[in-house]
Amino acid sequence: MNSTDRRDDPVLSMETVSFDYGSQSVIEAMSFGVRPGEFLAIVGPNGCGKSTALKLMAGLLTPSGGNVLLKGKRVASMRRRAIARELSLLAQSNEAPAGMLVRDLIGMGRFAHEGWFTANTKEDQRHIADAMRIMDVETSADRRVGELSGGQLQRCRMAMTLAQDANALLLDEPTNHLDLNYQYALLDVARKQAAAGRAVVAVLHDLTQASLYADRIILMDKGKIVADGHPSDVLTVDRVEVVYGIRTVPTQIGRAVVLLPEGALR
Amino acid sequence: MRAWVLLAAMFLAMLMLAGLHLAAGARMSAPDLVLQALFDYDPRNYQHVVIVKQRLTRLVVAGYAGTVLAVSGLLLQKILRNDLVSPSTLGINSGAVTFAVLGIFFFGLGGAQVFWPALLGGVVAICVTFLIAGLVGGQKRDPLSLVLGGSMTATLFSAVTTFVISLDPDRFGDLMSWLVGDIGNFDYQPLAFLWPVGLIGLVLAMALSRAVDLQTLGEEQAASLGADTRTVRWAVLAITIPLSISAVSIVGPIGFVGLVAPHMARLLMGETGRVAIAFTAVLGAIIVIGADIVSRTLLAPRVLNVGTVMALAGGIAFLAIIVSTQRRRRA
Repeated sequence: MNSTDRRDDPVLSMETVSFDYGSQSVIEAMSFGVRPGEFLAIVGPNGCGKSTALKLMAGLLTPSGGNVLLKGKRVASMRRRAIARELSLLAQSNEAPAGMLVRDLIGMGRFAHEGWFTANTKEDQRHIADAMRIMDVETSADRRVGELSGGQLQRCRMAMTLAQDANALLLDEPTNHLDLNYQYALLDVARKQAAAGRAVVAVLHDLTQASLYADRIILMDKGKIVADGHPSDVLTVDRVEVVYGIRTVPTQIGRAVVLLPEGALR
Repeated sequence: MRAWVLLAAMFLAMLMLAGLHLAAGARMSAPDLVLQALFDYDPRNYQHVVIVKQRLTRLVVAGYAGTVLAVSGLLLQKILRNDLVSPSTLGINSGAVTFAVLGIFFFGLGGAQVFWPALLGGVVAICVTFLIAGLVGGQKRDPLSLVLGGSMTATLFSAVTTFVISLDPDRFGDLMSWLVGDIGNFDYQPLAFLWPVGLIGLVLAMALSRAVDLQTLGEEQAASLGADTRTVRWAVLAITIPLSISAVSIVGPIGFVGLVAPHMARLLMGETGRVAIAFTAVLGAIIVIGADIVSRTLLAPRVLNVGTVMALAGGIAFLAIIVSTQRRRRA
Protein backbone atom coordinates (compact mmCIF):
# COMPACT_ATOMS: atom_id res chain seq x y z
CA MET A 1 0.00 0.00 0.00
CA ASN A 2 1.21 3.47 -0.84
CA SER A 3 1.99 5.38 2.35
CA THR A 4 1.94 8.76 0.60
CA ASP A 5 -1.84 8.54 0.12
CA ARG A 6 -3.64 11.03 2.24
CA ARG A 7 -5.95 9.13 4.48
CA ASP A 8 -8.90 11.43 3.94
CA ASP A 9 -8.88 11.29 0.13
CA PRO A 10 -11.44 8.80 -1.13
CA VAL A 11 -9.93 5.73 -2.78
CA LEU A 12 -13.03 5.19 -4.83
CA SER A 13 -15.76 7.67 -5.59
CA MET A 14 -18.95 7.86 -7.59
CA GLU A 15 -19.76 11.28 -9.05
CA THR A 16 -23.42 11.62 -10.04
CA VAL A 17 -23.29 8.17 -11.64
CA SER A 18 -26.34 6.98 -13.54
CA PHE A 19 -26.93 3.72 -15.29
CA ASP A 20 -29.75 2.42 -17.41
CA TYR A 21 -30.63 -0.65 -19.43
CA GLY A 22 -32.22 0.91 -22.51
CA SER A 23 -35.01 3.14 -21.30
CA GLN A 24 -35.10 1.57 -17.84
CA SER A 25 -33.13 3.55 -15.28
CA VAL A 26 -31.32 1.34 -12.75
CA ILE A 27 -29.11 3.85 -10.95
CA GLU A 28 -29.92 7.55 -10.71
CA ALA A 29 -27.30 10.22 -9.99
CA MET A 30 -25.47 8.36 -7.25
CA SER A 31 -22.66 10.19 -5.47
CA PHE A 32 -20.46 9.01 -2.63
CA GLY A 33 -16.83 8.19 -1.84
CA VAL A 34 -15.07 5.55 0.22
CA ARG A 35 -11.99 6.46 2.21
CA PRO A 36 -9.07 4.26 3.24
CA GLY A 37 -9.86 2.45 6.47
CA GLU A 38 -13.59 2.75 5.97
CA PHE A 39 -16.04 -0.17 5.95
CA LEU A 40 -19.09 0.85 3.93
CA ALA A 41 -22.14 -1.41 3.66
CA ILE A 42 -24.70 -0.97 0.91
CA VAL A 43 -28.14 -2.31 1.82
CA GLY A 44 -31.57 -2.23 0.25
CA PRO A 45 -34.31 -4.50 -1.01
CA ASN A 46 -33.81 -6.89 -3.96
CA GLY A 47 -33.62 -5.09 -7.28
CA CYS A 48 -32.79 -1.70 -5.69
CA GLY A 49 -29.58 -1.52 -7.73
CA LYS A 50 -27.02 -2.28 -5.01
CA SER A 51 -25.20 -4.97 -6.99
CA THR A 52 -25.32 -2.76 -10.07
CA ALA A 53 -23.74 0.04 -8.03
CA LEU A 54 -20.94 -2.33 -7.00
CA LYS A 55 -20.36 -3.39 -10.62
CA LEU A 56 -20.19 0.25 -11.67
CA MET A 57 -17.60 0.88 -8.95
CA ALA A 58 -15.58 -2.10 -10.16
CA GLY A 59 -15.69 -0.85 -13.74
CA LEU A 60 -17.60 -3.93 -14.90
CA LEU A 61 -20.37 -1.68 -16.17
CA THR A 62 -19.86 1.69 -17.82
CA PRO A 63 -21.98 4.51 -16.39
CA SER A 64 -24.56 6.10 -18.68
CA GLY A 65 -23.72 9.37 -16.96
CA GLY A 66 -21.22 10.64 -14.40
CA ASN A 67 -17.84 9.22 -13.44
CA VAL A 68 -16.39 6.54 -11.21
CA LEU A 69 -12.96 7.60 -9.95
CA LEU A 70 -10.35 5.21 -8.58
CA LYS A 71 -7.59 7.18 -6.87
CA GLY A 72 -8.63 10.17 -8.94
CA LYS A 73 -8.52 8.36 -12.28
CA ARG A 74 -11.58 7.57 -14.36
CA VAL A 75 -12.19 3.83 -14.08
CA ALA A 76 -13.79 3.78 -17.54
CA SER A 77 -10.49 4.82 -19.12
CA MET A 78 -8.28 2.39 -17.16
CA ARG A 79 -7.11 -1.02 -18.33
CA ARG A 80 -8.50 -4.03 -16.45
CA ARG A 81 -5.08 -4.97 -15.14
CA ALA A 82 -4.45 -1.48 -13.76
CA ILE A 83 -7.86 -1.48 -12.08
CA ALA A 84 -7.21 -4.92 -10.60
CA ARG A 85 -4.02 -3.76 -8.91
CA GLU A 86 -6.01 -1.13 -6.98
CA LEU A 87 -9.40 -2.78 -6.61
CA SER A 88 -10.52 -6.33 -6.00
CA LEU A 89 -14.03 -7.74 -6.16
CA LEU A 90 -15.56 -10.86 -4.72
CA ALA A 91 -18.26 -11.50 -7.32
CA GLN A 92 -21.53 -13.16 -6.44
CA SER A 93 -21.26 -16.13 -8.79
CA ASN A 94 -19.21 -18.89 -7.26
CA GLU A 95 -18.35 -20.49 -10.56
CA ALA A 96 -15.05 -22.39 -10.56
CA PRO A 97 -14.00 -25.53 -12.43
CA ALA A 98 -14.31 -28.67 -10.30
CA GLY A 99 -10.84 -29.91 -11.30
CA MET A 100 -8.97 -26.78 -10.25
CA LEU A 101 -6.68 -26.96 -7.23
CA VAL A 102 -7.50 -24.57 -4.40
CA ARG A 103 -3.89 -23.36 -4.47
CA ASP A 104 -4.27 -22.45 -8.16
CA LEU A 105 -7.61 -20.76 -7.55
CA ILE A 106 -6.17 -18.52 -4.85
CA GLY A 107 -3.07 -17.91 -7.00
CA MET A 108 -5.32 -16.34 -9.62
CA GLY A 109 -5.62 -13.36 -7.31
CA ARG A 110 -2.05 -12.50 -8.31
CA PHE A 111 -2.78 -12.23 -12.05
CA ALA A 112 -2.73 -8.43 -12.17
CA HIS A 113 0.71 -8.34 -10.53
CA GLU A 114 2.31 -10.92 -12.80
CA GLY A 115 4.51 -10.16 -15.79
CA TRP A 116 5.15 -12.45 -18.75
CA PHE A 117 8.16 -13.99 -17.10
CA THR A 118 7.63 -13.14 -13.46
CA ALA A 119 4.73 -15.32 -12.32
CA ASN A 120 4.77 -16.93 -8.90
CA THR A 121 7.52 -14.76 -7.41
CA LYS A 122 8.44 -14.76 -3.71
CA GLU A 123 6.09 -11.84 -3.21
CA ASP A 124 3.23 -13.67 -4.96
CA GLN A 125 3.80 -16.70 -2.76
CA ARG A 126 3.84 -14.54 0.36
CA HIS A 127 0.52 -12.91 -0.49
CA ILE A 128 -1.05 -16.29 -1.32
CA ALA A 129 0.18 -17.81 1.95
CA ASP A 130 -1.07 -14.80 3.95
CA ALA A 131 -4.49 -14.94 2.28
CA MET A 132 -4.82 -18.67 2.98
CA ARG A 133 -3.88 -18.14 6.61
CA ILE A 134 -6.33 -15.25 7.05
CA MET A 135 -9.21 -17.26 5.55
CA ASP A 136 -8.19 -20.44 7.37
CA VAL A 137 -8.04 -22.57 4.22
CA GLU A 138 -4.39 -23.68 4.39
CA THR A 139 -5.34 -27.33 4.89
CA SER A 140 -7.41 -27.25 1.69
CA ALA A 141 -4.56 -25.98 -0.52
CA ASP A 142 -4.08 -29.27 -2.37
CA ARG A 143 -7.75 -30.19 -2.64
CA ARG A 144 -9.80 -29.74 -5.77
CA VAL A 145 -12.56 -27.17 -5.99
CA GLY A 146 -15.12 -29.92 -6.69
CA GLU A 147 -14.43 -31.50 -3.29
CA LEU A 148 -15.27 -28.33 -1.37
CA SER A 149 -18.60 -27.39 0.21
CA GLY A 150 -20.20 -24.13 -0.90
CA GLY A 151 -18.92 -22.41 2.23
CA GLN A 152 -15.36 -23.66 1.83
CA LEU A 153 -15.33 -22.50 -1.78
CA GLN A 154 -16.58 -19.08 -0.77
CA ARG A 155 -13.76 -18.76 1.80
CA CYS A 156 -11.23 -19.81 -0.85
CA ARG A 157 -12.61 -17.23 -3.26
CA MET A 158 -12.33 -14.61 -0.54
CA ALA A 159 -8.70 -15.69 -0.07
CA MET A 160 -8.18 -15.22 -3.82
CA THR A 161 -9.60 -11.71 -3.52
CA LEU A 162 -7.29 -10.93 -0.58
CA ALA A 163 -4.25 -12.27 -2.47
CA GLN A 164 -4.95 -9.53 -5.01
CA ASP A 165 -3.66 -7.07 -2.38
CA ALA A 166 -5.70 -4.12 -3.62
CA ASN A 167 -6.49 -0.85 -1.82
CA ALA A 168 -10.20 -1.17 -2.39
CA LEU A 169 -12.05 -4.38 -1.58
CA LEU A 170 -15.58 -4.82 -2.96
CA LEU A 171 -17.72 -7.68 -1.69
CA ASP A 172 -20.96 -8.64 -3.39
CA GLU A 173 -23.10 -10.46 -0.81
CA PRO A 174 -20.00 -12.16 0.61
CA THR A 175 -21.86 -14.12 3.28
CA ASN A 176 -23.78 -16.16 0.69
CA HIS A 177 -23.22 -19.91 0.97
CA LEU A 178 -21.72 -19.49 4.45
CA ASP A 179 -22.79 -20.97 7.77
CA LEU A 180 -23.39 -18.45 10.51
CA ASN A 181 -19.97 -18.86 12.15
CA TYR A 182 -18.19 -18.32 8.83
CA GLN A 183 -20.44 -15.38 7.95
CA TYR A 184 -19.12 -13.57 10.99
CA ALA A 185 -15.59 -14.83 10.42
CA LEU A 186 -15.67 -13.38 6.91
CA LEU A 187 -17.06 -10.07 8.11
CA ASP A 188 -14.35 -10.00 10.82
CA VAL A 189 -11.76 -10.40 8.06
CA ALA A 190 -13.37 -7.60 6.07
CA ARG A 191 -13.31 -5.33 9.13
CA LYS A 192 -9.63 -6.14 9.74
CA GLN A 193 -8.89 -5.28 6.12
CA ALA A 194 -10.51 -1.90 6.68
CA ALA A 195 -8.56 -1.44 9.91
CA ALA A 196 -5.37 -2.15 7.94
CA GLY A 197 -6.18 0.86 5.78
CA ARG A 198 -8.13 -0.57 2.86
CA ALA A 199 -11.44 0.80 1.70
CA VAL A 200 -14.04 -1.95 2.03
CA VAL A 201 -17.46 -1.85 0.37
CA ALA A 202 -19.88 -4.73 0.95
CA VAL A 203 -23.35 -5.31 -0.41
CA LEU A 204 -25.18 -7.00 2.45
CA HIS A 205 -28.67 -8.38 2.96
CA ASP A 206 -28.73 -8.56 6.74
CA LEU A 207 -29.28 -5.13 8.31
CA THR A 208 -28.07 -6.28 11.72
CA GLN A 209 -24.82 -7.58 10.27
CA ALA A 210 -24.41 -4.35 8.34
CA SER A 211 -24.90 -2.22 11.45
CA LEU A 212 -22.59 -4.45 13.47
CA TYR A 213 -19.68 -4.29 11.05
CA ALA A 214 -19.94 -1.19 8.89
CA ASP A 215 -18.69 2.26 9.85
CA ARG A 216 -21.17 3.67 7.43
CA ILE A 217 -24.28 2.42 5.65
CA ILE A 218 -25.84 3.47 2.38
CA LEU A 219 -29.51 2.52 2.16
CA MET A 220 -30.74 2.27 -1.43
CA ASP A 221 -34.17 2.04 -2.96
CA LYS A 222 -35.19 2.10 -6.62
CA GLY A 223 -31.75 3.09 -7.85
CA LYS A 224 -31.31 6.01 -5.47
CA ILE A 225 -29.55 6.62 -2.18
CA VAL A 226 -32.20 6.99 0.53
CA ALA A 227 -29.75 7.60 3.36
CA ASP A 228 -25.98 7.62 3.83
CA GLY A 229 -24.33 7.78 7.23
CA HIS A 230 -23.70 6.13 10.57
CA PRO A 231 -25.63 2.84 10.93
CA SER A 232 -27.84 3.96 13.81
CA ASP A 233 -28.71 7.16 11.92
CA VAL A 234 -29.51 5.39 8.66
CA LEU A 235 -31.49 2.40 9.92
CA THR A 236 -34.50 4.09 11.42
CA VAL A 237 -37.88 2.47 11.82
CA ASP A 238 -39.55 4.92 9.43
CA ARG A 239 -37.00 4.53 6.65
CA VAL A 240 -37.09 0.75 6.88
CA GLU A 241 -40.85 0.85 6.65
CA VAL A 242 -40.76 3.04 3.55
CA VAL A 243 -38.06 0.99 1.81
CA TYR A 244 -38.89 -2.57 2.86
CA GLY A 245 -42.58 -2.15 3.58
CA ILE A 246 -42.56 -3.62 7.09
CA ARG A 247 -43.11 -1.93 10.43
CA THR A 248 -40.37 -2.86 12.88
CA VAL A 249 -39.50 -2.51 16.54
CA PRO A 250 -35.93 -1.33 17.07
CA THR A 251 -33.46 -2.59 19.65
CA GLN A 252 -29.89 -1.48 19.99
CA ILE A 253 -27.33 -3.93 21.38
CA GLY A 254 -23.92 -2.29 21.51
CA ARG A 255 -23.43 -0.90 18.04
CA ALA A 256 -25.81 -3.36 16.42
CA VAL A 257 -29.20 -2.14 15.29
CA VAL A 258 -31.73 -4.95 15.51
CA LEU A 259 -35.03 -4.36 13.76
CA LEU A 260 -37.67 -6.95 14.50
CA PRO A 261 -40.88 -7.01 12.48
CA GLU A 262 -43.87 -5.94 14.52
CA GLY A 263 -46.05 -8.60 12.98
CA ALA A 264 -43.75 -11.40 14.06
CA LEU A 265 -43.58 -10.15 17.64
CA ARG A 266 -47.34 -10.31 18.19
CA MET B 1 5.72 -31.11 -9.34
CA ARG B 2 3.17 -33.91 -9.64
CA ALA B 3 1.93 -32.27 -12.84
CA TRP B 4 5.41 -32.36 -14.40
CA VAL B 5 5.81 -36.06 -13.53
CA LEU B 6 2.45 -36.81 -15.13
CA LEU B 7 3.41 -34.83 -18.22
CA ALA B 8 6.73 -36.68 -18.52
CA ALA B 9 4.97 -40.05 -18.07
CA MET B 10 2.41 -39.20 -20.72
CA PHE B 11 5.14 -38.05 -23.09
CA LEU B 12 6.93 -41.35 -22.58
CA ALA B 13 3.68 -43.20 -23.26
CA MET B 14 3.33 -41.23 -26.48
CA LEU B 15 6.84 -42.19 -27.58
CA MET B 16 6.10 -45.85 -26.91
CA LEU B 17 2.84 -45.63 -28.82
CA ALA B 18 4.71 -43.90 -31.66
CA GLY B 19 7.12 -46.85 -31.72
CA LEU B 20 4.19 -49.24 -31.90
CA HIS B 21 2.67 -47.13 -34.68
CA LEU B 22 5.85 -47.47 -36.73
CA ALA B 23 6.02 -51.22 -36.16
CA ALA B 24 2.33 -52.01 -36.65
CA GLY B 25 0.69 -52.53 -40.00
CA ALA B 26 -0.48 -55.24 -42.32
CA ARG B 27 2.82 -56.87 -41.43
CA MET B 28 4.29 -56.25 -37.99
CA SER B 29 7.89 -55.03 -38.17
CA ALA B 30 10.45 -56.05 -35.56
CA PRO B 31 11.65 -53.25 -33.23
CA ASP B 32 15.24 -53.47 -34.49
CA LEU B 33 14.01 -53.07 -38.07
CA VAL B 34 12.12 -49.91 -37.05
CA LEU B 35 15.22 -48.48 -35.39
CA GLN B 36 17.33 -49.42 -38.41
CA ALA B 37 14.87 -47.74 -40.76
CA LEU B 38 14.96 -44.58 -38.65
CA PHE B 39 18.68 -44.30 -38.04
CA ASP B 40 20.24 -46.24 -40.91
CA TYR B 41 17.76 -45.75 -43.71
CA ASP B 42 18.24 -47.85 -46.83
CA PRO B 43 15.99 -46.75 -49.74
CA ARG B 44 16.44 -50.11 -51.43
CA ASN B 45 14.95 -51.96 -48.45
CA TYR B 46 11.16 -52.15 -49.01
CA GLN B 47 10.46 -52.50 -45.27
CA HIS B 48 12.45 -49.33 -44.58
CA VAL B 49 10.52 -47.47 -47.25
CA VAL B 50 7.19 -48.57 -45.73
CA ILE B 51 8.25 -47.55 -42.23
CA VAL B 52 9.64 -44.13 -43.16
CA LYS B 53 7.61 -43.06 -46.20
CA GLN B 54 4.27 -44.45 -45.08
CA ARG B 55 4.10 -45.02 -41.35
CA LEU B 56 6.40 -42.23 -40.13
CA THR B 57 4.63 -39.62 -42.25
CA ARG B 58 1.25 -40.85 -41.02
CA LEU B 59 2.57 -40.78 -37.46
CA VAL B 60 3.66 -37.14 -37.75
CA VAL B 61 0.36 -36.09 -39.32
CA ALA B 62 -1.66 -37.99 -36.68
CA GLY B 63 0.39 -36.44 -33.88
CA TYR B 64 -0.03 -32.97 -35.33
CA ALA B 65 -3.79 -33.30 -35.81
CA GLY B 66 -4.30 -34.73 -32.32
CA THR B 67 -2.20 -32.02 -30.69
CA VAL B 68 -3.82 -28.99 -32.30
CA LEU B 69 -7.38 -30.29 -32.09
CA ALA B 70 -7.00 -31.18 -28.41
CA VAL B 71 -5.52 -27.79 -27.48
CA SER B 72 -8.23 -25.99 -29.50
CA GLY B 73 -10.89 -27.95 -27.65
CA LEU B 74 -9.40 -27.15 -24.25
CA LEU B 75 -9.21 -23.40 -24.93
CA LEU B 76 -12.74 -23.28 -26.36
CA GLN B 77 -14.12 -25.16 -23.37
CA LYS B 78 -12.48 -22.66 -21.04
CA ILE B 79 -13.56 -19.41 -22.68
CA LEU B 80 -17.10 -20.65 -23.30
CA ARG B 81 -17.20 -22.28 -19.83
CA ASN B 82 -18.80 -25.27 -21.46
CA ASP B 83 -17.39 -28.80 -21.21
CA LEU B 84 -19.27 -29.98 -24.28
CA VAL B 85 -17.70 -27.76 -26.92
CA SER B 86 -14.84 -28.59 -29.29
CA PRO B 87 -13.99 -27.74 -32.91
CA SER B 88 -16.25 -30.57 -34.07
CA THR B 89 -19.21 -30.05 -31.74
CA LEU B 90 -19.24 -26.31 -32.55
CA GLY B 91 -19.57 -27.15 -36.26
CA ILE B 92 -16.18 -25.59 -37.15
CA ASN B 93 -14.98 -28.79 -38.80
CA SER B 94 -18.05 -29.22 -40.99
CA GLY B 95 -17.99 -25.59 -42.12
CA ALA B 96 -14.34 -26.02 -43.03
CA VAL B 97 -15.05 -29.12 -45.10
CA THR B 98 -17.91 -27.46 -46.98
CA PHE B 99 -15.87 -24.41 -47.92
CA ALA B 100 -12.86 -26.58 -48.79
CA VAL B 101 -15.06 -28.62 -51.15
CA LEU B 102 -16.39 -25.40 -52.68
CA GLY B 103 -12.81 -24.20 -53.13
CA ILE B 104 -11.87 -27.46 -54.81
CA PHE B 105 -14.93 -27.44 -57.03
CA PHE B 106 -14.96 -23.84 -58.16
CA PHE B 107 -11.30 -22.87 -58.01
CA GLY B 108 -9.56 -26.19 -58.45
CA LEU B 109 -7.63 -25.78 -55.20
CA GLY B 110 -5.63 -28.65 -53.79
CA GLY B 111 -3.24 -29.61 -50.99
CA ALA B 112 -2.46 -26.90 -48.44
CA GLN B 113 -4.40 -24.33 -50.51
CA VAL B 114 -7.70 -25.57 -49.11
CA PHE B 115 -6.65 -24.08 -45.78
CA TRP B 116 -7.93 -20.65 -46.84
CA PRO B 117 -11.49 -21.56 -47.87
CA ALA B 118 -11.60 -23.99 -44.93
CA LEU B 119 -10.65 -21.18 -42.56
CA LEU B 120 -13.42 -18.99 -43.94
CA GLY B 121 -15.81 -21.92 -43.58
CA GLY B 122 -14.79 -22.45 -39.95
CA VAL B 123 -15.45 -18.79 -39.14
CA VAL B 124 -18.83 -18.80 -40.92
CA ALA B 125 -19.82 -22.05 -39.19
CA ILE B 126 -19.02 -20.86 -35.67
CA CYS B 127 -21.03 -17.68 -36.31
CA VAL B 128 -24.00 -19.76 -37.44
CA THR B 129 -23.63 -21.98 -34.37
CA PHE B 130 -23.60 -19.00 -31.97
CA LEU B 131 -26.60 -17.58 -33.78
CA ILE B 132 -28.61 -20.80 -33.51
CA ALA B 133 -27.55 -21.31 -29.90
CA GLY B 134 -28.69 -17.76 -29.14
CA LEU B 135 -32.06 -18.39 -30.78
CA VAL B 136 -32.53 -21.70 -29.01
CA GLY B 137 -31.09 -20.93 -25.58
CA GLY B 138 -31.72 -17.19 -25.27
CA GLN B 139 -30.20 -15.75 -22.12
CA LYS B 140 -30.12 -19.12 -20.38
CA ARG B 141 -26.66 -20.55 -20.50
CA ASP B 142 -27.51 -24.17 -21.07
CA PRO B 143 -24.39 -25.98 -22.29
CA LEU B 144 -26.50 -28.15 -24.54
CA SER B 145 -27.83 -25.24 -26.63
CA LEU B 146 -24.36 -24.57 -28.07
CA VAL B 147 -23.95 -28.24 -28.90
CA LEU B 148 -27.39 -28.30 -30.46
CA GLY B 149 -26.47 -25.21 -32.51
CA GLY B 150 -23.24 -26.93 -33.54
CA SER B 151 -24.94 -30.11 -34.66
CA MET B 152 -27.58 -28.19 -36.63
CA THR B 153 -24.81 -26.19 -38.29
CA ALA B 154 -22.97 -29.40 -39.11
CA THR B 155 -26.12 -30.87 -40.64
CA LEU B 156 -26.73 -27.79 -42.78
CA PHE B 157 -23.16 -27.66 -44.01
CA SER B 158 -22.91 -31.35 -44.77
CA ALA B 159 -26.04 -31.00 -46.92
CA VAL B 160 -24.21 -28.32 -48.91
CA THR B 161 -21.14 -30.55 -49.12
CA THR B 162 -23.19 -33.47 -50.41
CA PHE B 163 -24.90 -31.23 -52.93
CA VAL B 164 -21.63 -29.87 -54.34
CA ILE B 165 -20.16 -33.36 -54.58
CA SER B 166 -23.26 -34.68 -56.35
CA LEU B 167 -22.69 -32.10 -59.08
CA ASP B 168 -19.62 -33.98 -60.21
CA PRO B 169 -18.99 -37.13 -58.15
CA ASP B 170 -16.08 -38.32 -60.27
CA ARG B 171 -14.08 -35.27 -59.42
CA PHE B 172 -14.31 -36.01 -55.71
CA GLY B 173 -13.55 -39.73 -55.92
CA ASP B 174 -10.11 -39.23 -54.40
CA LEU B 175 -11.50 -37.02 -51.67
CA MET B 176 -14.10 -39.39 -50.27
CA SER B 177 -11.85 -40.66 -47.48
CA TRP B 178 -10.75 -37.12 -46.58
CA LEU B 179 -14.39 -36.15 -46.21
CA VAL B 180 -14.89 -38.56 -43.33
CA GLY B 181 -11.51 -37.85 -41.81
CA ASP B 182 -8.52 -39.88 -42.82
CA ILE B 183 -4.77 -39.84 -42.70
CA GLY B 184 -3.27 -40.64 -46.06
CA ASN B 185 0.28 -41.56 -46.88
CA PHE B 186 0.88 -38.27 -48.65
CA ASP B 187 -0.65 -35.96 -46.08
CA TYR B 188 2.76 -34.76 -45.00
CA GLN B 189 2.85 -32.58 -48.11
CA PRO B 190 0.22 -30.05 -46.94
CA LEU B 191 1.60 -30.37 -43.41
CA ALA B 192 4.93 -29.11 -44.71
CA PHE B 193 3.17 -25.79 -45.42
CA LEU B 194 0.75 -25.68 -42.51
CA TRP B 195 2.90 -26.61 -39.50
CA PRO B 196 3.80 -22.96 -38.77
CA VAL B 197 0.08 -22.30 -38.11
CA GLY B 198 0.20 -24.99 -35.46
CA LEU B 199 3.44 -23.75 -33.95
CA ILE B 200 2.30 -20.13 -33.71
CA GLY B 201 -1.10 -21.20 -32.37
CA LEU B 202 0.42 -23.39 -29.66
CA VAL B 203 2.90 -20.71 -28.58
CA LEU B 204 0.10 -18.14 -28.33
CA ALA B 205 -2.07 -20.63 -26.44
CA MET B 206 0.73 -21.04 -23.89
CA ALA B 207 1.22 -17.28 -23.64
CA LEU B 208 -2.49 -16.65 -23.03
CA SER B 209 -3.04 -19.63 -20.74
CA ARG B 210 -3.19 -17.62 -17.51
CA ALA B 211 -5.72 -15.12 -18.83
CA VAL B 212 -7.75 -18.00 -20.30
CA ASP B 213 -7.75 -19.83 -16.96
CA LEU B 214 -9.27 -16.77 -15.30
CA GLN B 215 -12.25 -16.99 -17.67
CA THR B 216 -13.33 -20.22 -16.00
CA LEU B 217 -14.27 -18.19 -12.89
CA GLY B 218 -16.97 -16.31 -14.78
CA GLU B 219 -16.88 -13.04 -16.68
CA GLU B 220 -17.14 -10.65 -13.75
CA GLN B 221 -14.60 -12.38 -11.56
CA ALA B 222 -12.14 -12.73 -14.46
CA ALA B 223 -12.45 -9.04 -15.30
CA SER B 224 -12.01 -7.92 -11.72
CA LEU B 225 -8.91 -10.11 -11.39
CA GLY B 226 -7.44 -8.10 -14.26
CA ALA B 227 -8.21 -10.02 -17.45
CA ASP B 228 -9.66 -8.16 -20.39
CA THR B 229 -12.43 -10.67 -20.97
CA ARG B 230 -13.53 -9.56 -24.40
CA THR B 231 -9.99 -9.44 -25.79
CA VAL B 232 -9.14 -12.84 -24.36
CA ARG B 233 -12.22 -14.40 -25.93
CA TRP B 234 -11.57 -12.95 -29.36
CA ALA B 235 -7.91 -13.92 -29.13
CA VAL B 236 -8.80 -17.50 -28.27
CA LEU B 237 -11.22 -17.72 -31.20
CA ALA B 238 -8.57 -16.18 -33.46
CA ILE B 239 -6.09 -18.84 -32.30
CA THR B 240 -8.25 -21.95 -32.12
CA ILE B 241 -10.08 -21.62 -35.42
CA PRO B 242 -6.92 -21.52 -37.64
CA LEU B 243 -5.33 -24.11 -35.36
CA SER B 244 -8.06 -26.69 -35.83
CA ILE B 245 -8.57 -25.79 -39.50
CA SER B 246 -4.88 -26.46 -40.17
CA ALA B 247 -5.53 -30.04 -39.05
CA VAL B 248 -8.89 -30.39 -40.81
CA SER B 249 -7.40 -29.20 -44.12
CA ILE B 250 -4.95 -32.08 -43.94
CA VAL B 251 -6.84 -34.99 -42.43
CA GLY B 252 -10.48 -33.99 -42.82
CA PRO B 253 -13.00 -33.55 -40.02
CA ILE B 254 -11.64 -35.90 -37.36
CA GLY B 255 -14.06 -35.38 -34.50
CA PHE B 256 -14.09 -35.80 -30.75
CA VAL B 257 -10.33 -35.49 -30.06
CA GLY B 258 -10.92 -31.86 -29.18
CA LEU B 259 -13.71 -32.87 -26.86
CA VAL B 260 -12.33 -35.99 -25.23
CA ALA B 261 -8.68 -35.05 -24.70
CA PRO B 262 -9.44 -32.07 -22.41
CA HIS B 263 -11.78 -34.25 -20.36
CA MET B 264 -9.15 -36.95 -19.92
CA ALA B 265 -6.60 -34.29 -18.99
CA ARG B 266 -9.01 -32.85 -16.43
CA LEU B 267 -9.52 -36.26 -14.83
CA LEU B 268 -5.83 -37.13 -14.75
CA MET B 269 -4.20 -33.81 -13.92
CA GLY B 270 -6.58 -30.87 -13.59
CA GLU B 271 -6.85 -28.11 -16.09
CA THR B 272 -5.02 -25.09 -14.78
CA GLY B 273 -1.81 -23.70 -16.16
CA ARG B 274 0.57 -24.27 -19.02
CA VAL B 275 1.50 -27.80 -17.99
CA ALA B 276 -2.16 -28.76 -18.43
CA ILE B 277 -2.10 -27.39 -21.99
CA ALA B 278 1.01 -29.42 -22.80
CA PHE B 279 -0.56 -32.47 -21.17
CA THR B 280 -3.73 -32.09 -23.22
CA ALA B 281 -1.63 -31.69 -26.38
CA VAL B 282 0.23 -34.95 -25.69
CA LEU B 283 -3.04 -36.74 -24.87
CA GLY B 284 -4.54 -35.53 -28.15
CA ALA B 285 -1.56 -36.90 -30.06
CA ILE B 286 -1.87 -40.22 -28.22
CA ILE B 287 -5.57 -40.50 -29.08
CA VAL B 288 -5.16 -39.91 -32.82
CA ILE B 289 -1.99 -42.01 -33.10
CA GLY B 290 -3.82 -44.79 -31.24
CA ALA B 291 -6.85 -44.45 -33.50
CA ASP B 292 -4.58 -44.66 -36.54
CA ILE B 293 -3.00 -47.85 -35.24
CA VAL B 294 -6.46 -49.34 -34.71
CA SER B 295 -7.63 -48.22 -38.15
CA ARG B 296 -4.68 -49.95 -39.81
CA THR B 297 -4.69 -53.17 -37.82
CA LEU B 298 -8.29 -53.90 -36.85
CA LEU B 299 -9.32 -55.27 -40.24
CA ALA B 300 -5.80 -55.65 -41.72
CA PRO B 301 -4.93 -55.74 -44.52
CA ARG B 302 -7.92 -53.45 -45.07
CA VAL B 303 -7.36 -49.94 -43.70
CA LEU B 304 -10.22 -48.13 -42.00
CA ASN B 305 -10.54 -44.36 -41.83
CA VAL B 306 -9.19 -42.78 -38.66
CA GLY B 307 -12.28 -40.58 -38.73
CA THR B 308 -14.49 -43.67 -38.55
CA VAL B 309 -12.58 -45.10 -35.61
CA MET B 310 -12.64 -41.75 -33.81
CA ALA B 311 -16.34 -41.23 -34.51
CA LEU B 312 -17.14 -44.61 -33.02
CA ALA B 313 -15.00 -44.30 -29.90
CA GLY B 314 -15.53 -40.55 -29.54
CA GLY B 315 -19.26 -40.72 -30.05
CA ILE B 316 -19.61 -43.07 -27.11
CA ALA B 317 -17.31 -40.89 -24.99
CA PHE B 318 -19.32 -37.80 -25.97
CA LEU B 319 -22.53 -39.43 -24.81
CA ALA B 320 -20.93 -40.34 -21.49
CA ILE B 321 -19.70 -36.77 -21.04
CA ILE B 322 -23.11 -35.27 -21.82
CA VAL B 323 -24.82 -37.59 -19.37
CA SER B 324 -22.36 -36.84 -16.58
CA THR B 325 -22.45 -33.08 -17.24
CA GLN B 326 -26.24 -32.97 -17.18
CA ARG B 327 -26.35 -35.06 -14.02
CA ARG B 328 -23.91 -32.71 -12.32
CA ARG B 329 -26.01 -29.73 -13.35
CA ARG B 330 -29.12 -31.25 -11.89
CA ALA B 331 -27.42 -32.35 -8.69
